[in-house]
Amino acid sequence: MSWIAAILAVAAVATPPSVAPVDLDGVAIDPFAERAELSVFVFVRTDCPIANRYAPELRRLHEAFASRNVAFWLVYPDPQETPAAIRAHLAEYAHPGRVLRDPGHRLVEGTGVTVTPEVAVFRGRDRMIYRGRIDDRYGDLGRARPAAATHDLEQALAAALAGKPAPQRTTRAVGCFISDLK
Amino acid sequence: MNAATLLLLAAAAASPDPTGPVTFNEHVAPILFANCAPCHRPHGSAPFALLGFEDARKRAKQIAKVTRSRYMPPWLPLAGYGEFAGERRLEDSEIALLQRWAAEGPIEGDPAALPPAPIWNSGWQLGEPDLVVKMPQAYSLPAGGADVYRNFVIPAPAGPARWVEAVEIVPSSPRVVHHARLLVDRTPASRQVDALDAQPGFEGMEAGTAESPDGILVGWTPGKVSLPPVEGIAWRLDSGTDIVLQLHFVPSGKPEQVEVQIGLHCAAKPPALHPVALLLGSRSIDIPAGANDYHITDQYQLPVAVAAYGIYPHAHYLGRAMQVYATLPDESQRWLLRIGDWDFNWQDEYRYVKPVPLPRGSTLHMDYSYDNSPENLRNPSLPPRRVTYGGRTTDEMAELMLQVVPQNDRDRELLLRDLERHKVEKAIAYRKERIASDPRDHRSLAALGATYLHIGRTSEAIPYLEQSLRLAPGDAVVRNNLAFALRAEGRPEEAIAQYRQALEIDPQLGAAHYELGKLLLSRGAARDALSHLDRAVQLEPASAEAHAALAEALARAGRKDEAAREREEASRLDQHPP
Repeated sequence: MSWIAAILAVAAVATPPSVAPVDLDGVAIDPFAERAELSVFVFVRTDCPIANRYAPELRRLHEAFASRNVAFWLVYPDPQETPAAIRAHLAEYAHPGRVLRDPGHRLVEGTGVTVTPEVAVFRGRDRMIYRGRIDDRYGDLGRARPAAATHDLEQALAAALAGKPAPQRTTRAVGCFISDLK
Repeated sequence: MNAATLLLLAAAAASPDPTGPVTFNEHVAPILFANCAPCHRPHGSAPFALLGFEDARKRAKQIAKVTRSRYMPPWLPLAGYGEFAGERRLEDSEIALLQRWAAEGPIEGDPAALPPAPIWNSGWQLGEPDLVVKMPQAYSLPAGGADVYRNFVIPAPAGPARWVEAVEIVPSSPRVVHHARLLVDRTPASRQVDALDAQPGFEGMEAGTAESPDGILVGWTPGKVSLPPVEGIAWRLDSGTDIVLQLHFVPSGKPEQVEVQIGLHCAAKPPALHPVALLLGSRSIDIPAGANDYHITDQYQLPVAVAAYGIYPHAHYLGRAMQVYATLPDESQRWLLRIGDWDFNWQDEYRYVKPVPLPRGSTLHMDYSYDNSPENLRNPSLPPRRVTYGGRTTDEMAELMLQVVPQNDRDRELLLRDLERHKVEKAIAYRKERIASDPRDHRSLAALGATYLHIGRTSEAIPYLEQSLRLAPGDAVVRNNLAFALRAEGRPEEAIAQYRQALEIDPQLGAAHYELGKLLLSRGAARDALSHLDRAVQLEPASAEAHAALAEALARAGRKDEAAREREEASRLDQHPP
């Protein structure tokens, strides 16, 4: 799959791909085949309380951007989470967007995300224009503000749609370590 | 803690520094079972379980990180500054084991070494309660947004007075309830506020007239074990009063319907001990934006010997370090609580393992620090803004409640009177500070005047009330207070003029009609007095004093039969107050 090579080139991480991302029916998916202007990958897991708490904010962003040629993908990197558990989770939290499982961590390694929730935004299939937190609500585990002051993902998307670079290319996300999931 | 848990603790302590690899079954499981699984179990209050190897393996680095920072298990008091029941703190050796386990593997190990998983009672931890009350209706917590602070009013059940010696608070969704505090309102104020809208409960963290029942701290936080009763301590629950349940909700990402059940365990007889809620703190809070080490302090010298049974500190998101200690008459120091990194999300009431004796003459000190810099990751305002006293999460508070028991009833009365004096002194200091920062703050001027009136320092009240009225002349109640002060200072003509003005502004002010009527009566203006006292009785028919004063005015006017009727009504109201 050529798109993953492109991701790897951008992120400069040379990990050989093992298992390709699949949808909930186990079908390998190329998320860039839809040719959206921007693709947002939101890494989540069913049992990460911080990721879960972002469900309403993800819905808000999906509503604001989905009609503007921005594709939203929820990526579940835990190889042990079954499609049934993920379907239940999607319904429970009313998560928007389409779903990928990434049991081989190919997307994880290609983007360089380290926690859930963390996002990676691509223009086309070639350029990762933002990676990091959704917003600055969490400063650390157990240290959350009542509301975010900087909406990093929203700013990155708005800037990209206006043809400008994101205010910050990368930020540090706070959440549950993906490296614990193997 | 059940027997199984105690065994597990012993097992964990047995091998603090293994030479071979650290394994889940032998080393990690005992620590998790004893310290984490009470919440981190299926249907527990934590968002995921930590019972099996797979549960823990999927979070090995996370566990290492949050135990190293002591974010988990959540327990704010520092070791060595007061010994509390139900302490949740890992030993340094246990934390070191968890670090090694995450770094080395994580390895499952020999299944034979795995201790049996603990078993929890599904229902009440303290056994079947004598009485269960619950929120009148479930509360719908939204999926997202800021935390919610809400007070729910639960009428006390009918029947005779009860003595409550232990309480269990059980939320239907423990994962979204971060703290619960049980208060009792013996006035209708809370239910009136609740009735203002159709939603169950009302917002905010200021309790108003609801108080910790009989000075006893009752609360719940996730992971808190339900503590058994303390010998001799119980609080009185009367039908007709309201339980006010103050809840801190944290939205989880999905909408939740939350109900809370309260199990009440009742004592057979009235309690032998009578605690007092000793409040320290200050409202004089004014934290500049950016200040990272702002302090609020308070002191109080105990007029009698007491024993401290429990402690409840309270600040919001800017609170950082808390130090509470007593200086004893022999100059020695006794720590009551020390918190290095206050976290509002884990506020709790703490019960001393053994009551802490504090001799007469001991001085209690509280010192809280606040961080209003952007580096404070919990700061609700970014960029920071000036923060003053208030009940909203963006305001700050500096409160400390110490549950103490005096040695006898006489000491208790003495303590209560002295605390009232301390409270008034602080109220005066607070209002003076407000006025100094804003000389046009007519509400503070009026409040300071009212406080002086309340403690009988009428001459000092007058200038503040006058100044308040210069700024806000239309306040009938302040004018009424000024009239009262003038009269007490032997200036009846001016008092009469002020009462008349107050009644021009608000003709429904029963207190002003009554006071003016009495004043006129004492100066021989019987006819004028009669009309005001008549009006006072119409406005406040339940006031025995008003009926008695009217009786006197009627008698002076020669209307003996009517006077007798009013006198009768007054004495009836005196004996059977409504």
